[in-house]
Amino acid sequence: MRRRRLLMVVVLALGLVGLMSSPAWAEGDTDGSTKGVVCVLADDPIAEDAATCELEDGTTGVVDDAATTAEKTKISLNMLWLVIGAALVIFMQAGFAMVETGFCRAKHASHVVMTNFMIFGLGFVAFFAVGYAFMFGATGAGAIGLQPLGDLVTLGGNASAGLFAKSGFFLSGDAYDVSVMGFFLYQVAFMDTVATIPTGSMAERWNFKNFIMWGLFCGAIFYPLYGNWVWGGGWLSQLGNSASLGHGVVDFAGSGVVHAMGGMAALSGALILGPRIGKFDKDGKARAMPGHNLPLAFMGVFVLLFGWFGFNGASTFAATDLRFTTVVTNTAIAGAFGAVTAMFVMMWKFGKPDPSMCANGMLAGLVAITAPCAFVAPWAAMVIGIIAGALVIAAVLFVENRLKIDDPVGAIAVHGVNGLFGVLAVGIFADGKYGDGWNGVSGNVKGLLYGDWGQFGAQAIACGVIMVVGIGLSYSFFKLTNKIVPIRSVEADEVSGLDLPEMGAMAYPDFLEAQGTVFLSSDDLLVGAGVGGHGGPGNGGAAAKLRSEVGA
Amino acid sequence: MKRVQAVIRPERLDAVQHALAESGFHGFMVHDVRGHGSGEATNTGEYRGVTFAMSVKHKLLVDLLVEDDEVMDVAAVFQSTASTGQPGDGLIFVIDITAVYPITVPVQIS
Repeated sequence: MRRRRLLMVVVLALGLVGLMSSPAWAEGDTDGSTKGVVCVLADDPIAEDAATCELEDGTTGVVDDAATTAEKTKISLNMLWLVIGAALVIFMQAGFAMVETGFCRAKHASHVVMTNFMIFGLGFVAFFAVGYAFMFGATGAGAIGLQPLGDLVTLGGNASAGLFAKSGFFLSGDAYDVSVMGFFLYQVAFMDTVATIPTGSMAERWNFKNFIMWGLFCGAIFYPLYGNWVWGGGWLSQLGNSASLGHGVVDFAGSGVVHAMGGMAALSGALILGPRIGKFDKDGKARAMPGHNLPLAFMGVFVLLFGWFGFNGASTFAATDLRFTTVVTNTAIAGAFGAVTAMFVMMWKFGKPDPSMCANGMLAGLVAITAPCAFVAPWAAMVIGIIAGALVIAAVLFVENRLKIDDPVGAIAVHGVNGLFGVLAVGIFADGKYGDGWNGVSGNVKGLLYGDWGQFGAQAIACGVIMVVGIGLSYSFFKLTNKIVPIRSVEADEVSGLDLPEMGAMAYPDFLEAQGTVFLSSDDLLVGAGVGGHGGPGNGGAAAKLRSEVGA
Repeated sequence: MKRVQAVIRPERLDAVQHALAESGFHGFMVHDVRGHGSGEATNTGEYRGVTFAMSVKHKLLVDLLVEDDEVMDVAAVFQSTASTGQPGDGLIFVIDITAVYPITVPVQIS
């Protein structure tokens, strides 16, 4: 059995190597030597010592050394900014891990942190293999303005207006190119952000084996599909040309592509999983299940804020595009106003600021500004932050008290609801100062406050598509995989804590005494930290009893 | 006066606490303890490729003082709310108390 499996792996690996090394596939610019070369008309006759090059019309020209040096410096600068951005966004994974683990209970801590950690690798593997090719395989220079990266990211020709692109699998062929390498690293970081959003709403009860399938699916299909439609030259990005709706769907750094899509998956996942045992009492009233480490969660929020400057700022793909300073500052403005608004709303409604809600408020502001950050004025960033900070509280309470969906960290409210709001905000607040040529439409991007209702229409269509495709795709995926590996953890494991039964390791094996203080709280269900019983004969009864009592 | 000490499963505390309050017992202490019930299953942990048994489990010791004639009532509360019918549910100890002094009032109350 083991031998047969080994054989299969070897055959697969050999096939892969064969595919990669196929001589028919031309490679891109693997050392960057052709990037930024400025070719000018040559004197006649061409000087003997001059470096020749090919002009656009096919005739021979000479390299303009001074202009080439300037152009190469510019491209290097842009690429450096992009790679710094990629590193910042990848560090956001640490932020997500800290926020989600801190907001969850101690007995599940190593399970929650493992989902946040492994999602990076799982999503990466799938995105590298096929996801990137599906999403950006048809990226033309016109689609999202890749000229600053050396103008060579033109895999598979120009924008396709299609549903799926298909070249650059395993970064082979044309994709083996210095510009594509930088671009890929940046994009894979965004994909991982989407993938890690549902781990929050589904925390404390998501069977790890089912989770593995989500990681691969998200990197291969879930993210690239809608991503291609907006960022890869797909049909939504072409609405400006095809249906005269402004610039088509405009989503600067991914309120929709990243956050709202992740939020939709978070919604379907939490809906299918059902609430954690004990979350709702017999009358269906929500009970508090406080997270076990708020300082850790807040550290995570700051890490996310830090990473967001790369998430939004480097989405210009160019340090030479000075608009990036507007982008990062707008980002900070919305985050600050989101946190402050959430704090005041909570103080007004409940009397105290409620730390975890303030954290959600800042994240909501950041999510909402992600799409419009490059297109709006600072005052609009402020308004967006204020709306987001209030909206997230309304959404958290609505999801919990009306929809009766258990979302331990508020992922649906933060990423789903505010992601959709961010997409709409472009169509409202874009002030016509930036975005000339976006999606191949000339003129700057304007929202309805500045007279372009078409842009608002495109953004509204995007919201509709996100909801239909995001929920539809993820809901069917979770339903389907539930048949292969149950999506919900075993009840007894959930009661005792998933750390030992699913991970084999507790997050805090030595700290049982230290956790004693929380046992005096009236909410028992946050206890059981540490060594609960594994699915032995003991806890099945406990879980069933708990269930019958709390009616969950 | 008796001291009733019950070892329970941590996840039963909420039910126990509510039932105690309903029966009129409002004051109690909770100790964080570890132990292993006779016949209770053993957990298996795994750390860096090493599998190990963890027979000692996390339990809570609920501790309260009652009048002699209330002991059976309290015991009944524990038996009805902390029991799952499986090994490892815990035990109830009843101990004689000779004196109790409140911290704030400098007189002996029993």
